[in-house]
Amino acid sequence: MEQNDFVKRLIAGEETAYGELLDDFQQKVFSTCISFVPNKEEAEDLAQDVFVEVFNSIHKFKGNSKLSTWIYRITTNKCLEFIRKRNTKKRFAFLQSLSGGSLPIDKTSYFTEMNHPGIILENKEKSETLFLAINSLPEAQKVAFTLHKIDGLSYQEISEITQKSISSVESLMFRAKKNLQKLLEDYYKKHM
Amino acid sequence: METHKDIKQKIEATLNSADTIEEVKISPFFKEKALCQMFAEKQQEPFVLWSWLTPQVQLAALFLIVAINVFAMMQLRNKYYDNEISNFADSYGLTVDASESLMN
Repeated sequence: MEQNDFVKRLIAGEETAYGELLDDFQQKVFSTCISFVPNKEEAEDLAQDVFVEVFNSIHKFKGNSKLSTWIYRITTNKCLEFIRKRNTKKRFAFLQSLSGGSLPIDKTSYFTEMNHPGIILENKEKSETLFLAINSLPEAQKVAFTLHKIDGLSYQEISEITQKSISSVESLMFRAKKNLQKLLEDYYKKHM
Repeated sequence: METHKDIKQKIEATLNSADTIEEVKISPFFKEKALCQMFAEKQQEPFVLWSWLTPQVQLAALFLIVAINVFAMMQLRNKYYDNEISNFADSYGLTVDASESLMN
């Protein structure tokens, strides 16, 4: 009931309601954005786009899920859209389709310049390599792994956001880890 | 063998590096910036008078205009062709005048 009232205020375009929404969600949305796009400025721009999208499409929110889940869904989609656009610029589309979305790790073709203040210096190299490897995963695995391991969401939350069952999320995580191990093995064999 | 072990360790360390990433705090002015952008976009809503002119209507209008133009061109060409044939026939005396007919 409380959520319904709040949504009504958002639909009415009350500025105070959007202020409250930002107080509650700005940090969470930004954290998800920087988990997908490890660049502080770009993650902030993306988070801003998310709130503008919420503002423009709040009338489409049916209340079937929690407001937070709906906002997370918009955030994930915005991040994937951003990555997709950047990756298309950097790679040949046909190459991606030939390899089924799984490409070897390549620092030069990464979609952004890494600037993640949360990565401690001694782990910089490893974390950067991990982000490169994640970017080579198929989209569904990328989403599951990023939301769980980088953003720290539970399987239950991921299943609500992605509208998949918990067992599907578990399966995606298993495959993501397996693929990452393979990608990293290839990478370290080349760079040893 | 040693290299294989090293690689395994490196992979483990790389995968575990995700657990060491710390939370990044959002800029203190983010809220104001986001609110400004949201409500600025609201004020820039398109003028209602032209809201009916959707891309579909525009496309349909374009097709109609092109079709009318093609039809008009065809009509004009036919007229010119008939006129030119008549002029040619007149110039070389190939016209059959009703008064010169043997039947009269």
